[in-house]
Amino acid sequence: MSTKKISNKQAFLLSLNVILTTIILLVPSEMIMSAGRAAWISIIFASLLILAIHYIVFKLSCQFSNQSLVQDCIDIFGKILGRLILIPFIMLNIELTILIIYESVGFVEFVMPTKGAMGIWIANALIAGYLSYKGIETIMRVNGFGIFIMLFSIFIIISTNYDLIDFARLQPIVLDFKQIARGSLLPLHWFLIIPNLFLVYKPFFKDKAKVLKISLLGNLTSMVIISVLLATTITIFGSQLGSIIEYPFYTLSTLSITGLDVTVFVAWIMATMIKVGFYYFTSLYLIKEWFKLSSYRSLILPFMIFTVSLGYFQTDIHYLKTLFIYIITIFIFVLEVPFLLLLIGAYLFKNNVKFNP
Amino acid sequence: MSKKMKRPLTIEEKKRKDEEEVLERLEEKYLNDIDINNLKVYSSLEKNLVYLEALFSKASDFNTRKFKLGDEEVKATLVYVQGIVNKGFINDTILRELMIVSRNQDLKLSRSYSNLIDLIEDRLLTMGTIERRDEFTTIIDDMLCGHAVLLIDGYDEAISIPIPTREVRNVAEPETESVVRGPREGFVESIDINLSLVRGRIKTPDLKFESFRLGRVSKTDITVAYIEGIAPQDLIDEVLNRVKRIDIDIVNESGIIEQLIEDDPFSPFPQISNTERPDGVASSLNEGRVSIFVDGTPFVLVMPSVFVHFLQANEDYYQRFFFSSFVRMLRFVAFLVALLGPSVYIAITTFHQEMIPTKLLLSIVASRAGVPFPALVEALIMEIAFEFLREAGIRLPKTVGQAVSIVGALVVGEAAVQAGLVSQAMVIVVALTGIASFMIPAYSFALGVRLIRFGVMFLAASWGMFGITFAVLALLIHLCSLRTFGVPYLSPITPVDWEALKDSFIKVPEWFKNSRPSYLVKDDNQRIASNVKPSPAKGDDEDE
Repeated sequence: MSTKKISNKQAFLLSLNVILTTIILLVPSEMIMSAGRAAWISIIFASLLILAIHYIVFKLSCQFSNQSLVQDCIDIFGKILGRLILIPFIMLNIELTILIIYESVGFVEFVMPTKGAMGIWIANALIAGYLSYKGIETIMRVNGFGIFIMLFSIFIIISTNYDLIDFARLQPIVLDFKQIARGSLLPLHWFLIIPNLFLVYKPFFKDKAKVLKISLLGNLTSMVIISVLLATTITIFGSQLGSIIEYPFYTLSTLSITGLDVTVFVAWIMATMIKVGFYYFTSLYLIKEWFKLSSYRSLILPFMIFTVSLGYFQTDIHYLKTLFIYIITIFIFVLEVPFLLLLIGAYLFKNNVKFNP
Repeated sequence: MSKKMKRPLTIEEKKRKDEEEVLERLEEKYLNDIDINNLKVYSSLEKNLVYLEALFSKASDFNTRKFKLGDEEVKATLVYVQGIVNKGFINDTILRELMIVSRNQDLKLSRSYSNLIDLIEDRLLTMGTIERRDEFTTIIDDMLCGHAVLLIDGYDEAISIPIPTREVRNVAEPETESVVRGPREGFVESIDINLSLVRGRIKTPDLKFESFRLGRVSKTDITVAYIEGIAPQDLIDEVLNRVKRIDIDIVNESGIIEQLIEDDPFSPFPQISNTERPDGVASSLNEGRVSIFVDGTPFVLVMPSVFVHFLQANEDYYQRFFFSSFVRMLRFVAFLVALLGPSVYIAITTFHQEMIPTKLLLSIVASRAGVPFPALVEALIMEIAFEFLREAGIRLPKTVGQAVSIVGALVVGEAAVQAGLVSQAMVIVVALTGIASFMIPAYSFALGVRLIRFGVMFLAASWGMFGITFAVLALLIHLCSLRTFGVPYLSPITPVDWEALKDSFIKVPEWFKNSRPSYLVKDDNQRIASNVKPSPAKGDDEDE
């Protein structure tokens, strides 16, 4: 059976999901708090920066081989060093998996405060485990539905709140680059998911040359959508109120039609759970490749128990929540960006040796 | 002293000896499990008859008709199983030919034939199909499927003449798939009639019928039908492989075959559709799908069948596209209502009251005021009562069944509300759900939806909309991973096939449906010629 299972359209939808679901749920209030009225510019800044990194690393990676990221690292750095370098990357993926479940749990708790968190953790893990068990082909198909529903809900939110928009709230636009850079920290982290994920999924793409263009387009599309939503939020709530509300996009849906908020809740929670599914798959696939296992499926149940128990207790520590932005900054500048830069350097060097012997 | 000479055996003694010999062999067969597949026909008619009579002992419908053949009076016997052969045809044609015409002067001129069987085959029996058999297994199989078998003394071959007959009801409109507009003919229990109904609609030699028998005991005739050049070869091979792999004792209905060849037996969704309509089978074959006909049932299997097929009806193709598209979209909404109706009601009334406009909320609260149960229990009571009524309505005789449905729905429903067991709102929700499930054209698909509904209700009662999302997502994952004969179950939605989407949730005009679904047909998928969009003749426009 062919491993080339991800079509160009599916790759585009994948790049949309990894950004949209998280940013819609988590980022806006944090961003508005950091960047104020210029929050939408922070998104553009973060997106363009990652766009360049993504283009370089993915192109070099495809030039180097058609193998998985783990195999690439082993080929470049050797069996031991290659694996060692990958450990932080794999750990980061596992941590991100937990964080995404946590996002979903937090959102459900926000909408349904009477429900205990443990059940929601388990439900998320069950769906993610089931989705990852079914494999990448199913994940991509389900993702198509998730994105369609979520985009539809975004369209409904904007169109039903159109008369509340006051563009005066966007003014005056003060280009404080320090503020914009601070505001872009969180979206930087989430936009970095695209190159990371595309490097892991490299063996599954049907047409790598087109996928590169498509993923860049996905990045830009996400940027546009998020910028529009951020601008909408600010034009309706203003920057101060927008930074206080925990889920401003969701709150927008409560303003227009009765009951729309619950529908939007369903759409977003569905998309987030799908995202948890492909993070499960990514982590399990990396572990499988790292240990050279024949299948990742036997790891699903232990991984479910591991993520739920670790995530539940880890996120129950209130102190850690207050340090969230610092943890993210550490992730970006200590783990993610250096890892990608290291990969870019290694791929450049190896490609030079390969093509100019 | 005269030496005692060995006396030649009398005819009676010879016959007894033959019988003993055959019985010995039979005993040997049963005791030592000798493979009877290789048991050849004897040249001795007596031996053959003893063997057959022993095999069919205590079978009162087994019949033998002994007679003499031609002027030379060769002994022959026609053996058959009464009731499944056309007795009138045996008496009026076969026996007449063999007993009377075989003495004809003209026929004597043909005695140049060295083999009497050749002569009978060439000059006497006038049936369209006759077959020569030299093994008992095939003879027995033939007899049990409505053949008369002619055994002739001195020949180790027999002639098998197919003259099956069975009381078959007339071709009539199928009760499960009635239409306002469309053909009124439906399949019956005879496979031959069913095949002829399809052949009458597809007049091309490319329409292939591959027939064989299934069932160690039932020996049921099965036919796999497809159009060569349109149906993909790997699909045909896969269907044939799966069907031929079946080793079962009895096949009474096509549903048994369906359960033995489907991709995922644990899925609540059917992966093979069934129909009683020849026009439905003809259209499916023309789309590149494969059908399985089973003798004894009017339900023909069609595969592969994807999700959207179960929400389509044959009549959609006979109506103008506006109405067909509207009805199809209604059916899709009905599917969602049938699946989620009570669950959404439970979730909203239990967890998400803010979704309901205040006036409606007050009226729901008022109607639920006297109800002692939570919404889940209320829904379960009504749903289970509805299932009781539905099942009773189906199993009872038609007239009584209708009465039970009406009495159940009106009297019991009203009484339950008055007794304060359930609220009026819940009665409305359950009734709507029931009606919605009746809108799903495929009964087997609706059954799956009915089952899933109960699971979703429990999740909705525990987790509200989150529980429903959980259930829907789990279903979606299942549907996205499901395949039927290599075709993704959610085709043409995902993977997207734009051309096939024209005939899915909507139905575009006939002239716009250019090709067959590409998820099925790869090569010859041109459906309609270009430039066939209807328009008035030039010059008809009054302005010109």
